[in-house]
Amino acid sequence: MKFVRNKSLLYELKYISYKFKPHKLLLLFFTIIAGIVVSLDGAQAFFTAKDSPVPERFSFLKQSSNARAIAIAIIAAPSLLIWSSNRDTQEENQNISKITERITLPFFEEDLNKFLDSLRIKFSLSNSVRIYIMMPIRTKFGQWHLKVITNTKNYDNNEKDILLKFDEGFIGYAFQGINYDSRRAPKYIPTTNSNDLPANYKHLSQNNKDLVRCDNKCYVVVPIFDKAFLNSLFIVDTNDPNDLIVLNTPELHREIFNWIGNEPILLSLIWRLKHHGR
Amino acid sequence: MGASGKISESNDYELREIVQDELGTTFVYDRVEDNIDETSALNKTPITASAKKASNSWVYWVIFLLLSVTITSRTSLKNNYGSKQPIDPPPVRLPRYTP
Repeated sequence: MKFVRNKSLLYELKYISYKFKPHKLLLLFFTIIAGIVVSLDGAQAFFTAKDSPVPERFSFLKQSSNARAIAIAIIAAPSLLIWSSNRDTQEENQNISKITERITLPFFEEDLNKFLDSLRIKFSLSNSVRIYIMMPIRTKFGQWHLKVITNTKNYDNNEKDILLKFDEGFIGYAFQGINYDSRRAPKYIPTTNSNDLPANYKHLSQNNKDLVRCDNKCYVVVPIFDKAFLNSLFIVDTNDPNDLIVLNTPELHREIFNWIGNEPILLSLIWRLKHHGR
Repeated sequence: MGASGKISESNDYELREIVQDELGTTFVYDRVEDNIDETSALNKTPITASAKKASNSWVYWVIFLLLSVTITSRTSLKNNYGSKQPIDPPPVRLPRYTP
């Protein structure tokens, strides 16, 4: 459980470092300091001092409380304008992200389908073999779940709603054990011996249990790293017992490695798109 | 084309070991190219972007230093000679008037 918390923390830190912009904090800090320091004396004196260029007949401006408020407003205005401009940019970026996601994912899915077809021909796999990619998605502060982001066409649409905790089910169990040293270590998990589950195995929640294909015979979980960061999981499953021998072979694993490639830039892009503006 | 967004290379992955645990089997692979890279890394240190940046930063430091020295020296010259305060002329002693 501690390990799971650490993994969530790791992803939360990654998310915060991606979202955190020090210059924004500095801008806020300087605005507050400038507001306090200048409006108390200098800017206020501009309106109220004896040699002020503001004529005496503007009595409203000559009152110290009004002068202070106006001075603060003048100092805060540029910061507010920058903030407003940033919001516009952020909204535009979100729109661009959505459009990019809509273009990228179908292309990615098509590529995944072609890859599965090639595997079927090469290794004589059945039609029940499916491939999907799960990615850690932030649901709320400090809470992360594994979610399917792309899949082959034989994957059930309902299963796309599965949200796995980092230690939930067979996939969560495999996810727990992954670290950078095991970046080229696919895990083969047969589900046939479900009576001999380890003590730290956490069963699927009822909602996920209702969604998942219940007669799965095995999972092959391959980690996908973006440099030193665990970006997503490449998962193969089947409910046909005849496929199990093939899914256990290094030849198939090598094919998967070759498909993933050395730099998963498309998945890095999708990670960014998924977490942009949220 | 794969997740990398480019045509997959025919990289060779060698099976190093098979680890059996309570729930399944983990196949541990080594990438052959990684081993080659590691040996070549002994002979040449890759220059990272930050290292390159660091190697160029001395130029900016030198420029900054030169500018600082120039400005400081000009200011001190100005203080000593350029903006010398006008010396009051010695009081003129008028000859005492004697009627």
